Amino acid sequence: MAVVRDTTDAYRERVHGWLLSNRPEGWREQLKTASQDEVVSFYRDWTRKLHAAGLLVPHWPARFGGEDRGLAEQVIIQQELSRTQSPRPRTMAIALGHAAATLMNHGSPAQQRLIAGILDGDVWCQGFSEPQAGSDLASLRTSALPRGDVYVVNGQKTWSSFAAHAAFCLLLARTDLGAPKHKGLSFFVMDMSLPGVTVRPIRQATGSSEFAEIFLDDVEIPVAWRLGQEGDGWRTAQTTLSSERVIQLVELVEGLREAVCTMAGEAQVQRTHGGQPWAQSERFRTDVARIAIDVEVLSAMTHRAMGNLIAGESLGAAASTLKLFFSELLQRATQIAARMSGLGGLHDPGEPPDLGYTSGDWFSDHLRSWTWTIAAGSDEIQRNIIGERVLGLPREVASQ
Amino acid sequence: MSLSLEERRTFRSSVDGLLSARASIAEGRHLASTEHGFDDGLWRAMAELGWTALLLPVELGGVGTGMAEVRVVLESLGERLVPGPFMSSAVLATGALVDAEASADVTSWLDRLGDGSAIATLALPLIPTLGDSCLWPEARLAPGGWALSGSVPEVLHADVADLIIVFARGAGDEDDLVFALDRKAIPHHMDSFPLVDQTRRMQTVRFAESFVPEQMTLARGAAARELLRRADLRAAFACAADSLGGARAVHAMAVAYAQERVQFGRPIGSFQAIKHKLASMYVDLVSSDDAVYEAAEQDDLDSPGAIRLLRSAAYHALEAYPRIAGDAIQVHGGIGFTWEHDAHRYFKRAWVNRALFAGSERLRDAVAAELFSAPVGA
Ligand SMILES: Cc1cc2nc3c(=O)[nH]c(=O)nc-3n(C[C@H](O)[C@H](O)[C@H](O)COP(=O)(O)OP(=O)(O)OC[C@H]3O[C@@H](n4cnc5c(N)ncnc54)[C@H](O)[C@@H]3O)c2cc1C
Repeated sequence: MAVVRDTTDAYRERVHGWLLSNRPEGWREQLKTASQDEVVSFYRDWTRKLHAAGLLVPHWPARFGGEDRGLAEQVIIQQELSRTQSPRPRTMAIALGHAAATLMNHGSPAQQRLIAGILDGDVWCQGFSEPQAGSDLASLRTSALPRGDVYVVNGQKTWSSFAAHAAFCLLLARTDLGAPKHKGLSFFVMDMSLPGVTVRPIRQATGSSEFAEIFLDDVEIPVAWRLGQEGDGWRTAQTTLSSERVIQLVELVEGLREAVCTMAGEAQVQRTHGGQPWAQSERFRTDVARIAIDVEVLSAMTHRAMGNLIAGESLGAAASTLKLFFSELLQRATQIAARMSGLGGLHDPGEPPDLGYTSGDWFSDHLRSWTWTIAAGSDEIQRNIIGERVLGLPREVASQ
Repeated sequence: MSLSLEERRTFRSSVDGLLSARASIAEGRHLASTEHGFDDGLWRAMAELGWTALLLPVELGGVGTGMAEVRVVLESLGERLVPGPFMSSAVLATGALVDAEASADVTSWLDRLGDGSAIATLALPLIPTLGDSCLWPEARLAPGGWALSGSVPEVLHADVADLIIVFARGAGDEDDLVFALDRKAIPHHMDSFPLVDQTRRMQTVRFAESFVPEQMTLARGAAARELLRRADLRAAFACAADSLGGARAVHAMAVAYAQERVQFGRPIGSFQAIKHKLASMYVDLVSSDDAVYEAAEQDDLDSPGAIRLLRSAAYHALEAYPRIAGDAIQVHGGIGFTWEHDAHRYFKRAWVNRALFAGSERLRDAVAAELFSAPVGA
């Protein structure tokens, strides 16, 4: 099981060296006052640069623009991105983590050609949630009815991250109004420039407007842009490469590790209401130590999951346990840090861009942690999944 | 030496095989009222299968595997609440003896520990750093050896130990010391300290100017402190592995009960309050499992990163077990609160594991000390 720890130091050194000489200096400070367009183009340029250096997706198959390398190398990249405080292309999360995997697994050759655009910095968004369909996603109502060689789409999507900047959307819509709710869905690649697509950004609790509503009025999506079989959308939407999720976690774990050190450092300077540095408070030290311990535990969980994936096993229940463990830990860690920052840490940041989940602006980070407890299956839904699918407990209510 | 995947599987199934045939949870209850509290025959069977020689290097006639296999045994013993000196003798004492520079004396003890004909224990003091506390026995130089006085309050299975490894501070300017005491040869006094966990026996061992010949000295000074450092980490790991096994078993019990117990016309496991509790317990369990597994795979008591992982894994598993066992009692309702039910036996072993060897807090505090000792801005 030496999959991650023993992979060549030489590779790590090369990655580390490249990042040190190529990461944009002072990028965090710059982005804090940038417009959202500037933020998006910054992340796009960074994506291109990483790709040119072979540091974006070396684990992808060569025919899709990767280098057929192992996941172990990708782990090293994620760790070094974090250690060198380099940016991660946040606006590209859906494109790189979700869309690409879906296209590789289910796309037609023509659809797969869109992968090249992703490597060139195309933003993608995900159109799943609707006003009436959140946790109960399968009850979504947006319809896509076949007419000739197109599907005519009508409905409304919501909470779609970075939709205002997206070139394409992974769309889930109902193609069979009569079928049982999981059966009548199909999956589409939707060009966001099609007539009838209207995007209206929604301001988030953080102040910035990253997610958006998408209104769909008689949008005509060519049949050729359906992903997978008609009526098979639910299954297609579920099967994204789980490795991408774990890769993301590797980076998040490293981010948390850095955050704990930063917190400990700040605690030597920040003072409590009694005038002592926080680092001298027994209670605070204990709290931070428990965070540090949980970060080690999460790191072990991630490492083991990655090992299993490399050995060809599926992620299984680990997808839920990892997400739950991480989201709760992130919330606790950022809370402790934000409390330490006192009123000074509550200075209004205006419309802060997405700088990651442990940017060091602790209150914003803390608030942003709800992204993890709500989106992509809330904590409660994850517990339902573990209870029902892993532990085999009976459902509370029959669905349908 | 590490085993192949296939060998590991075989080893695991032989562990399961012996324990499911010979160590039922119910059987453990009867053993509580016997003199030494464990099954001698099972102990011999374990030794015959080589479990007591897992940490013994091949050069010394042992199996020479490592923490990964030790974990399998400890976890399985914890799962079934098996009583006995495996942890104290085959893991803690044997591990410490292997760490010590091997002298002829030590080697012959290791032979006997390896084949199970002798039992040893480790008298780890309450304070995990040597030298500065009156909780340590004290050794004064005497002609041809040492005069040992003072007591060690919490020693696992000392009543059956042929060999007791004792950490002591030197009187006056003398250095710290570790002794391997042949119990028969050294005058001592023993009081039993009955625990809530009836699967564990514990004694206080007292010495009153007991003469210890020089050849029973295992280590001095820096070497003694190094021995203690490693023994302390190994103890944390061992308790954590036992906790992991217990947590898994008691969680499974609660899940099974939630599936069969019907109230308000449906299984209680269909209520989210219960379902989510069981799911949270599961996350606690799986995270402990992954962390202890990774720590065992590293099998490293020396490098800083490995030590941090080991402490974190141990702390997490030691803390998770009492939480899981307590929630398991809750899921069972009234029946879970009875003496007849096994839930409280897991709960008690969980608490004892967490408190053993100066308690899980020492691990957390060590992590804190490391974090906050770094210079500002580092
Ligand atoms: C920052 C952010 C970004 C997002 N990005 C996207 C995106 O890009 N694309 C997209 O499609 N969606 C996105 N989402 C939407 C997200 O997936 C949904 O918010 C999520 O699925 C929850 O749905 P909901 O908001 O309707 O809440 P609801 O489903 O109404 O849930 C409200 C509360 O009820 C609880 N609850 C619901 N059902 C149950 C149950 N059966 N048992 C117990 N508790 C239950 C939930 O856990 C929650 O606490 C995003 C959300 C956020 C916060």
